[in-house]
Amino acid sequence: MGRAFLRVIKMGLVDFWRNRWLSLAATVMMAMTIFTIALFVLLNVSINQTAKTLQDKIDIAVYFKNEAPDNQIFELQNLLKSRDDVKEVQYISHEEALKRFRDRSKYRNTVQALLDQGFGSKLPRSLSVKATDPKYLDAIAAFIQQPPYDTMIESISHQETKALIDKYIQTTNFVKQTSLILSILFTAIAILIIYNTISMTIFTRKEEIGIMQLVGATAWYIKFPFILEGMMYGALATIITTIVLLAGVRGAAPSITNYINSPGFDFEQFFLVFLPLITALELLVGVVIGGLCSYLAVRKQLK
Amino acid sequence: MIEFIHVTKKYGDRAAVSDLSFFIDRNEFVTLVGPSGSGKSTLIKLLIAEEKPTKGQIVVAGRDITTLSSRELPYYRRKIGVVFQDYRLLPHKTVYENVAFALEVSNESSTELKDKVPPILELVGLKDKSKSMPDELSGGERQRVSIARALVHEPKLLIADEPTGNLDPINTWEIIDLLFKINKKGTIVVLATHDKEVVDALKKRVITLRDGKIVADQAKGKYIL
Repeated sequence: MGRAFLRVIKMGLVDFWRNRWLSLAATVMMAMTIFTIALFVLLNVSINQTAKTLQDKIDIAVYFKNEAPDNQIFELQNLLKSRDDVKEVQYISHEEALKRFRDRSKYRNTVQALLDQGFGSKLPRSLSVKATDPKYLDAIAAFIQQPPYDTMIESISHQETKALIDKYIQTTNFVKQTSLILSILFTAIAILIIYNTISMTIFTRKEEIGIMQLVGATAWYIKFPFILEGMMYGALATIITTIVLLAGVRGAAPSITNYINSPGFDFEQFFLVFLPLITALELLVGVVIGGLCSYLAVRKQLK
Repeated sequence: MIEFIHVTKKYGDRAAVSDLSFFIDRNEFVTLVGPSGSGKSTLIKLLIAEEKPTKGQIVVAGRDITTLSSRELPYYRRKIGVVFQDYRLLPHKTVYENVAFALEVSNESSTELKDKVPPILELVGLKDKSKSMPDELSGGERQRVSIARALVHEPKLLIADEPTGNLDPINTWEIIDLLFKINKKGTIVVLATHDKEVVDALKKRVITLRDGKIVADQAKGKYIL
């Protein structure tokens, strides 16, 4: 068993080298496929990460009328805090609201001047409510707008943000679907090319295979070198893809980190955490596609 | 040892061989003759289980080879040796490697290879050429390599399909002598040939085929077509 295995592996390696141009074509095609899949996996992961940071930023801001008593606001705050779907409720006082506005308007000199003159000293107090999941925001908003609290509410903001989020989710879904279709397309092309390549190498070795069958080689003994060859396309393609991907991420990481713009998020670090998983996935996809295509091609040709 | 029992092989509607029945005993040397299209090649293909008959049984050493599964087939092939007109050698392997290849694919160890290959090369008279490549050899030498490869498994049956078809008379006789030698050592030889001179000189059993049927089966036959 071990002896035959070694002979067969040797044969697979020799075949790979003997047909190196065909092998190269198959490997390149496989690398492109794997690269596309890896890229889309990364894209999806990044999108999900962005969605998560975005969702963390979504909150309901409840602005209160100036005449609303503080104790009722605190009562509402406590009520909200006791709800399961509420993650966090933050009270923003007149002073806090002013401070925040001032910070945000730092560079607008006119606004600054107005603020210095005492305008905006009565900016509305508010509660900033974060849900455990954005889908609960509607229910929370409805709860807040019930009596007796509805009378003390000046305005409640979450409709605009909701529209924005819906738009974002729509876009990401489109990107996800497109990437899935492209991945499937590339996989199909790779399968065809590898199938053809193996068929061609079998054709060039038709005589040798005939002799092998004549002198009593088992089907497994004849087939395995080809299957190994196919698996090698996958393994080599994984190495190429990983190198390209690493170089690409090195180059693009700063701008992606900027784009996602989430505190404490560094795309390169994020990628490096995922790298072993992505590489393992690539290897699995490559070896399975390569091996399977070869198996099918060999089975058809050896009938 | 080998028995054909009412064997018919059809390709489409045309019968390549029809209702063949004969028996070959151990140690026999049998010559198959017949013009092109007489069914000789089909008979050989049936005997090496490359084709399955449409009807009938072929029993070799007590086993009906028409029922061999594709899994069993390689093991049957190791028990028979086959030689063709076109030698079928691997062009990039030396004489030694070509012979050893038959053992390698049957998963025999390197020690077995070293034990078995040289005596076979000596038997066919190619001991000095074991490192030569096939294209450095004459036709007769190449055919001897292919016979050596067929014999390295020590088969009980050697099938030779037109082994001298590409050879000049001197080489032809060398090959026929070799087949005799092998037969004397106890191997059944089934020789398919066109060569009238060879058949007439052999004075062995001759089975004559025409249009897929046996028209003559003589113990000391002549080429009668």
